[in-house]
Amino acid sequence: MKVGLFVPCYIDQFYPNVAKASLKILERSGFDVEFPLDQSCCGQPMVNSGFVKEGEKVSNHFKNVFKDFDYVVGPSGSCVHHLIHHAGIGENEEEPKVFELFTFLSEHSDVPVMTKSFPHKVGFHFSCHALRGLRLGSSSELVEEPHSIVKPFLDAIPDIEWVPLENVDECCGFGGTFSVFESDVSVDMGRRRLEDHQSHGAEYIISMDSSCLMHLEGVSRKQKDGIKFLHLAELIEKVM
Amino acid sequence: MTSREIILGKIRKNKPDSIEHPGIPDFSWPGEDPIDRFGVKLSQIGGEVQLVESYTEALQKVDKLEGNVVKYLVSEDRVLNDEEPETTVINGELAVVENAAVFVNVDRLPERFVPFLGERLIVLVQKDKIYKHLHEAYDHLDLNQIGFGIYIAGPSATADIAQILVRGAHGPSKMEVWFYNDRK
Amino acid sequence: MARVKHAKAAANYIHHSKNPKAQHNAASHLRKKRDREVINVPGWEHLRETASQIKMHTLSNLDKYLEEFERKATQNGVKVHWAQDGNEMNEIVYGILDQHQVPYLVKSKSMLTEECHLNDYLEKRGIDVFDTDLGERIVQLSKETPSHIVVPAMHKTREDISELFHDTMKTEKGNLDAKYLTLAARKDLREKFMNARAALTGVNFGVAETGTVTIATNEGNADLGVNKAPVQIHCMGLEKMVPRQMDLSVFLRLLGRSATGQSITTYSSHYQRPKPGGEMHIVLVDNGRSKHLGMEDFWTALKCIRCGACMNTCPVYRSGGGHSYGYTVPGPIGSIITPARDINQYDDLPFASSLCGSCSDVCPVKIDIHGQLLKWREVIVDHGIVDKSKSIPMKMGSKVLSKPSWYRFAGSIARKVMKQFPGLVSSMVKDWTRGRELPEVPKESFRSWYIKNKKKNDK
Repeated sequence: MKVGLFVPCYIDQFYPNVAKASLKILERSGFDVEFPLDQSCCGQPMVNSGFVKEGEKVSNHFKNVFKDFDYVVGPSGSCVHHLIHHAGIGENEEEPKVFELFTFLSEHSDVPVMTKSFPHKVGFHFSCHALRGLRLGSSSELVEEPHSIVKPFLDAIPDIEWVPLENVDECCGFGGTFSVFESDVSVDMGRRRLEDHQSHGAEYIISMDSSCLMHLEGVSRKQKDGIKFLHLAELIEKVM
Repeated sequence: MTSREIILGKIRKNKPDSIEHPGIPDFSWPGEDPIDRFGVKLSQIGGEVQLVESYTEALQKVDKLEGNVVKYLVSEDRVLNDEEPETTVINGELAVVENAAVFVNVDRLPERFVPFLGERLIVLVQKDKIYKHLHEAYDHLDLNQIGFGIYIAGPSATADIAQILVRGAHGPSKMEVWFYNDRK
Repeated sequence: MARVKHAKAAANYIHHSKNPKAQHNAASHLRKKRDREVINVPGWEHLRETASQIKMHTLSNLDKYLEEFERKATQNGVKVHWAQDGNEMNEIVYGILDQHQVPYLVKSKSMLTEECHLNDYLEKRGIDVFDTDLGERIVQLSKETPSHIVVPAMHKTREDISELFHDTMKTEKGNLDAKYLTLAARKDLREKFMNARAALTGVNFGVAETGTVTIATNEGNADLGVNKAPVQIHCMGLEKMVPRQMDLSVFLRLLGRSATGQSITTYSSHYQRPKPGGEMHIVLVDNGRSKHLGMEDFWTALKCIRCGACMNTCPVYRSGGGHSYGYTVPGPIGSIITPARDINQYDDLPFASSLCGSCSDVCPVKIDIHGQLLKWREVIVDHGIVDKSKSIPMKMGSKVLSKPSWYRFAGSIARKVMKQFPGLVSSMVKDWTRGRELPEVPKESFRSWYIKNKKKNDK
């Protein structure tokens, strides 16, 4: 089984630790992982802004880079949602199947063994594309049996205290280029999410998507509220 | 061409290929005491249920109501009063458990505005004309036979000022449903 | 009409309105009430799916059902009118009122007449209009437009309303009691109701099988108006049709719950025939709907039953406020309806969304709202009417990101430049940094680290 590690462009440039942690978790779980060096981006920023042709150029490049893999695994619900549902990668039998990191782990492996303590109060931010796009958890709008692909991972972290939230799955306000085209609204939404986490005592905010975290952390640092941010892969790597 | 022809022509040209009507699935759920459940629902929206043995007993109770009462229950009651009443008493056709609504065939009233006047509205409904949900309720109605019919669920209400619930926005501020056992 | 600029209007609401949290608080409250109610409805998701299919069935046979509706209503003694646009609707309504020499009209909530600016039209011709829904009355008195389709005065606080009522109805100054204020409005309108000679309502559903117009309200204002006045007029958008009376059972179960978390609204009226000695008119209004029906990717937006749930759930709506959309129907549904009406005026609205998808999941008739928002962006870009501030970075981004060597070069530059000039004055960075810090820049990219530490070991 040949696994290609997909590292979204902004993770590559700004959050290399998230990629390192993802690689380590995958290797620790016994997978043979390679990071193809020619990869860049999934094309989502263009497509989400209406520039479909421009986005296709980028996703075609993606297809080309990953064409010889059985699986492509990336630590981002958002980019993976785009690759599966908009770029249509995997529809064709010969193409690799694209997975969000924790979905891949839960379908092909066990929850990693975690031994180190993380005695903190932590809020979990479910990114919208992971939740309502990939349906990795139950969304609060739907009347359905509660489910979550990440819960077994969250539950396995020693000594962690997950804080309840007022709005369990409200958007953080990032939304790709929305964050700059609608900057004021985006920041207002971010502040509201931070307030929810903070009022419930969260010291850390954890997510499966670095894009949400980049935005939330940006707002948080500006208002100097002292909250810390980690991608779930980074957190798991810390306690493994 | 008339506007009617132009609009219908545009629709014919533009409408998507016909999609089938799904039918109404069976949405029923396991049994519950309908009157009891109705009462809980109605109280949640500011109304109240009373149980009476028979229609005759209900009429006797109505006669004992105090204040300016207008009733439109039997044909002799069809008298209109100029002033806004304190209490209005009318018949209902059926009741719906899931939402505490009663259906009133307003054609049976001397004027259509009757259910919306007064402070307190009392609707008399026969106990076995209570249905689980709206699907069942519509199954027992024929709108073709009715000029104006209405579901009423609780008192008139608004929360348009800062989401604060106020009853008696334009219609009655109190509502009661009296269930009676039989028509005698 | 001027192009709507959502970001600017929303920023103005956030930074300069008296109470920028009013919409958020009220809309969140409604969303929570909705959640508490629907969780107890067995088969809720199945009900949504059924409603969606009934609406698609109806819209795909709309000509047939409208004709059946007209036939039935006419048999019932109702006069049915057809209006191609808002102006024709206004003319028809005015014609009826003028014929009866009616001095004023009592009107219950109707977003269609807001859409067509009926009040203005009538007032210019000497007919006073009294909006009787409390929320609509408030926005009418304050000379504003609704900020929400179900709760029109959602953006106003008790203080605002107390002041407004003091100025317009001489209520006690500074009295903030909602009951006092509500009853003052009731009293103020009572005499208008009692002496009205014509009343007008919107329509929630029209039933083809029975010629019924169904109206859902909580206050009782629509029914009090219509039944006191000898002439009743119902203005109805073409898409409000359902085939049979049984179909109402599906929609009335969804509407109140989705809108305000009520199992059903207080009043759900079914008008089939005029009152004895009275007149009943139904005006069927197109105003762009038949054109919308022909848009392959967008026609399902016409399934909308105007519950407002997508507004309540939408964090963008709650932040920027309803007026920031510049249209009668704001929020996510407004942002997919408006470009179908006029793409040049409303090209900005499909971009006023983070595409979180909450609207689509909350929608009782399962409109793929966020999917359509995304699709509209594509159409707008193809039309070439998108702003340069959006198109230049996208086109450059595409070039860079589809060529690995360019991407590596740009990435290395970006990291260095951001490290040295965190306040870099490009418009996107400026927009980002207004309320946010840029990410802290690491020493090296993952790729560089991988080449140094992993690639070597592998080979």
